[in-house]
Amino acid sequence: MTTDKPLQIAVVGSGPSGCFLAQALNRKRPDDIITVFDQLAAPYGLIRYGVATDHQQTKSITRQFDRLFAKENVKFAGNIEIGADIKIEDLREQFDVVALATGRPNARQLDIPGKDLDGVYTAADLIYSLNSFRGKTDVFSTLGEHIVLVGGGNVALDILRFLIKEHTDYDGSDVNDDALEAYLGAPVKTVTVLNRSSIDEAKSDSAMLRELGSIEGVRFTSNHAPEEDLDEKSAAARRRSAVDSLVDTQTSAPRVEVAFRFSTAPEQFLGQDTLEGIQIHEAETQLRSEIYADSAITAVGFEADDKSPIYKGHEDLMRITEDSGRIEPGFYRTGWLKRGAVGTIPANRACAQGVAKEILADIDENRIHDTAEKSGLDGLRHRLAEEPISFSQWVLANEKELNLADVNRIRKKFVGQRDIIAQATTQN
Amino acid sequence: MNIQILYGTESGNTELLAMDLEEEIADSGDHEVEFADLQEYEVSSLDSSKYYIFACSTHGEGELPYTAQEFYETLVEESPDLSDVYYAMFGLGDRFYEDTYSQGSEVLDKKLSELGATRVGEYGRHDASSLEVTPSDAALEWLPQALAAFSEIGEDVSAAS
Ligand SMILES: Cc1cc2nc3c(=O)[nH]c(=O)nc-3n(C[C@H](O)[C@H](O)[C@H](O)COP(=O)(O)OP(=O)(O)OC[C@H]3O[C@@H](n4cnc5c(N)ncnc54)[C@H](O)[C@@H]3O)c2cc1C
Ligand SMILES: Cc1cc2nc3c(=O)[nH]c(=O)nc-3n(C[C@H](O)[C@H](O)[C@H](O)COP(=O)(O)O)c2cc1C
Repeated sequence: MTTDKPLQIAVVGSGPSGCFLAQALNRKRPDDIITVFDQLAAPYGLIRYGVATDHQQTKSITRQFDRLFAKENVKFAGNIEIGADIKIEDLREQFDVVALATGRPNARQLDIPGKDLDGVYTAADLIYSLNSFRGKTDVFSTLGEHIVLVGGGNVALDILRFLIKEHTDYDGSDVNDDALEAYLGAPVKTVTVLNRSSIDEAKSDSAMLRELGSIEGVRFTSNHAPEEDLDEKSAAARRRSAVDSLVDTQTSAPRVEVAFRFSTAPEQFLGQDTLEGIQIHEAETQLRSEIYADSAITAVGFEADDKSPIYKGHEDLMRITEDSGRIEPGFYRTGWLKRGAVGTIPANRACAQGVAKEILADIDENRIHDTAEKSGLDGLRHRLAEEPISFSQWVLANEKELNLADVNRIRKKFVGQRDIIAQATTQN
Repeated sequence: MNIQILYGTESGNTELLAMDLEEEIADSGDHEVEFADLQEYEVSSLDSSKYYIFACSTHGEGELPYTAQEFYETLVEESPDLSDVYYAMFGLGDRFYEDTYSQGSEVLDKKLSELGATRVGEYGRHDASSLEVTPSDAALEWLPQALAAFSEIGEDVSAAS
């Protein structure tokens, strides 16, 4: 392959991983044509649909990517599902380099008896509605007064924050107000947060715990035993100090009580058809007991969407690896798809930079052997029923969302993709 | 003047900011300018032939971004004499992290000062929670006074010699 003519590069997925990869490649090879595909009409993956609605500073990383897509040679092709609208094989035929950054968007189910009872939900059931990915809001009015939250990571804390916040705590957010209203009509009275790990091994960031302290009317308790001999600067010590200060805060007549239970594992969801309680086991005391619950929400990780057509016959694409992102020269993976559903947005930049290095080396050292002429997106248009959503079309929908924002909201998101497509394709 | 921009980043904001500063300075046509990632820059290259703009974010709990750690550790281990080095500092952070706000750049700043380098101009800051201003815009607004501070040193130095 001659490297002097611009290459056609396809990135599948416009979450942070796909965008960071496109950014790294564009900076080294500005003349190549990079097309970032997404099955959704809106770009940015879990930044838009996963990151909590009251963490706009985290979502603001998209401003970097807005600048990326403003470049002539970096294109967004939204509303195109690779594997369905276009087969991977066809994509590879028209692009010199194909990199998958399709993520792992499905909430993992907690695999214990009773997991299918009514009243057992996953974090995704709430988060994807609060983020207007889905329109379904009925779960919010049926959560009940006593909720058990299973999980000890930052996503569990996103859920906890949602459960205990009030109206005014959403100022400046882009929360789905239908979901919020449905919930705040009958909010929770007690939340028990079950964490299999000890407080010292929990996966949550202390800043996220400390943030809970700014919410009024909440009383916190925790079952962790004191420990003096920790390095003050360690994550464990900071986490302890954050939880201790939550517990120490005096709250008269609280609206909500939150009980952190560390080193406590849920063993069984109890009930006939509907959840009634949870059997738990405490590691320290080896005691089993039952706690009452109107509903349970699990936040125990994310996994690949294994039903997605892109993986059909290519199941090994879902295999997790810390090693190379190269599947073969010309074909790569990055981000959560490659590494598993762990790590924050910044970790995907480091990952994408590593994969970009591999791609650049394969190009420079002539390992991508395919002499056929590549036409990129143009070579695939005849296969598509509809034109992809371009970045400038998305900008129209984005501006509409910003303009529609109610007082105290940063934007009003369209629910799902249909209205985005309608806005994006309106001739004005 | 000869200006070297050095950046430490983890999620890319500071890299983009460094590129924007470089473009702004280059476009003005008044100075020579280059930018480099701290993880690709040798501590031994720091000298008096250039003025330095450091831009650095904060990660973990008040820590340096991983791309700046090796540079920092080399400063600690080798303790070079930086008494003829002049620099300006721009720190990125997020007030969401109350206790550790903007500390990544401060760690670096403290070390540079300890080694004899002189910080000039205002300490620049960007707070990610102030959503209206992008990191690049904040840095571009800060830049003129940093350049002015550099040129004052230039005058002092030539006046002294
Ligand atoms: C609920 C939740 C909250 C989080 N909060 C934070 C936080 O506050 N801060 C933080 O740093 N990190 C947070 N994270 C982690 C962060 O979201 C991930 O690290 C990151 O999104 C992973 O990036 P990715 O690009 O690999 O995947 P994704 O962001 O999931 O992007 C994948 C993209 O690929 C597209 N796609 C998938 N299949 C196809 C296909 N067949 N064809 C075309 N397109 C396809 C998807 O539509 C999507 O846009 C959170 C994660 C979750 C789940
Ligand atoms: C996981 C994580 C931890 C952070 N910790 C801090 C912190 O302790 N103090 C702070 O001021 N900012 C902190 N920040 C905010 C970043 O410094 C801020 O987002 C900055 O703009 C990032 O710049 P970069 O993209 O160049 O790395 C943190 C951000 C993340 C994602």
